[in-house]
Amino acid sequence: MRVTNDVAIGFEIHAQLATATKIFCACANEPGGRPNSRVCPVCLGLPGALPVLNREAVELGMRVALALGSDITTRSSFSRKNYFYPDLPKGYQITQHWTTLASGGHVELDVEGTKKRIRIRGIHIEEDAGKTVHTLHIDGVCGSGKSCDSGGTSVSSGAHGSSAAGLVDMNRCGVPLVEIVSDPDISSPEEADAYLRKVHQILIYLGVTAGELHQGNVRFDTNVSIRNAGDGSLGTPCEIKNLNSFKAVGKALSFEIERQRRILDAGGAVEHETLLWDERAERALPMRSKEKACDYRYFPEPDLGDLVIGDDWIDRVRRYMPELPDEHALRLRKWYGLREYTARVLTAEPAMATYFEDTLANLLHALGEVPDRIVDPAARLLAVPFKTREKMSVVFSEMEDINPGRLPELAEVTANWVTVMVGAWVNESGVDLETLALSRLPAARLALVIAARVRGTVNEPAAKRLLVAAIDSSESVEELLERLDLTQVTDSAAIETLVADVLFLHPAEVERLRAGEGKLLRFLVGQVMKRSGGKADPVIVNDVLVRLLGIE
Amino acid sequence: MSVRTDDTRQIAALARLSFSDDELRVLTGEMKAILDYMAHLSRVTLDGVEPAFSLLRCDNVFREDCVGEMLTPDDALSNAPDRHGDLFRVPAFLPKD
Repeated sequence: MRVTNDVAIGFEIHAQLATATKIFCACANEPGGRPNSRVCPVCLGLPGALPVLNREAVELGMRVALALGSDITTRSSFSRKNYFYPDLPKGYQITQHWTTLASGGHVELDVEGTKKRIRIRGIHIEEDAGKTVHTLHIDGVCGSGKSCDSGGTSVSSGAHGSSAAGLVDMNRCGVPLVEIVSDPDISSPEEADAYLRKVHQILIYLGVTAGELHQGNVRFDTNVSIRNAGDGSLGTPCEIKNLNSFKAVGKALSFEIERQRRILDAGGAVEHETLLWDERAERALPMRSKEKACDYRYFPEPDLGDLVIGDDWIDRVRRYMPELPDEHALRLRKWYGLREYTARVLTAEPAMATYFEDTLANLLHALGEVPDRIVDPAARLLAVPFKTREKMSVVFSEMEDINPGRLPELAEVTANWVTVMVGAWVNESGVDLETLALSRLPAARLALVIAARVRGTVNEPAAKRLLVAAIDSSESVEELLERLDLTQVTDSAAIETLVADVLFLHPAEVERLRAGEGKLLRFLVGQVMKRSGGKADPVIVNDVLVRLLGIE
Repeated sequence: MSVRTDDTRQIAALARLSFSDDELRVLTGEMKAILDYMAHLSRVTLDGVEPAFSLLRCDNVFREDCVGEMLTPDDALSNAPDRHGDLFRVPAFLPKD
């Protein structure tokens, strides 16, 4: 078997920027809607229309550059990339070619405990293309067919030929994109997955994109090559385009690495090719020769001046940079004493981590565990969304002054509720966490459910029922506890009665337990729990059983 | 600067234009003249001159991120040779299946 580090993978990541308007015109940048209703002479490429750069698109791009440690270029410019495709009405895409918004930088990966740095080659901003729907043959009848588009990414000269027609919606034309180009530093599909997820997580934290892969907000092109066995130099790379999910990337990479290895093992040479990933067939197919004509004849965009970014502008954007995932995970560990793993799980999505923090703050208030000043959500909000580092360090030092007490334990419990219990409900219902947190289960409400469990008012199964009830009903948590009669029975006398009943009903099991079949204790606990309607405190039940049976 | 007829044919193909051989010969000559003229640049001393990508002497012309007037689908489609509902209908360009 070959060693695995002989593979070199690089990525181009395209992310639609979450601006209000398009990059070069004042049309709304919004998904969906009536086709061709968010268009104007500029994005339709009508004669005489002139592009004007959206300042916000530049600033969102700058945020990405700063987050990845890239150097922002003082003077960058725009170019035209020429190709013909029906979703590109101007016949060219305005992009940055010779001088880009930023260059350099890196992404730090942690793949199964091993740290690795993926270098960023450059970051630029450009416009997206429209969307096309292919119709299925039959003249005059337009069955809606498969959707395909150049997506602002270099599908070159389209080939005519079939008798079918194409239908084009230009609403997406001119939507701003940021493109992040990496060096070919990635050496396996697993690393590629970690890299893409990390960049995606950073983009979400930055708030620069809606980030929905299935909506095409973020799209990937990859290049793959196998190093020459002798000197380790890069072999001929092939590009794969049209990757719209992490899963597709993994499959496409495995497919392509295998394909190239087979060619090399047979003594052949890999030809430079551009392949299109076919999701359904799970194969990468070469584009047709005509589509391969990747001569984009770039030239400077004569309708746009240079983009000049000075230090003061960079400082201004830097000051309002949100907290990044790694920083957030570190802070969760420092502030709440969370384990590294838990902090990573929570920060997979900023919405989840924020929900966790809000819930924990409310839980601590409800339990009266920690001085208000530390967990005051307002203080946290001041510290978090904008990176005022001085302020954060003040909060940190305040934290270190106090005895964390039960904080780490309560933090882990809260994290478990958010990721596992609420997470399960979210997965089942399809309602996303942010919506849930804003409507049916605000952090304060979830905190009361958790508090009921932490205080021992309810046992574990009852707590789960309480959670579902809290989501489904508008009654207060106290009302639910009462109406659903969930309050845990901790009264030993009441429990003893139940235990006695169970012992009477199961003499054979009692005999076997006494004879040493220890696992029957659990059975008997279960029977008592059942008779209590699930309300007995299982720990007390266990104790009473052990005591009444006189076993160890 | 050498330009061959094949170069001209290739460029024409990329631009979706087709020419007769006679036309290609004429165009090749004209292209060569343009490139020769531009080649003067390579004889100029450019030490200390920053590359320029724009001839517009206006940096940082921006729009604020505010939604403005847009066309209705009917207006957008009014000059289209063919339409289907609110969509432009164009000749097929099916990718390989």
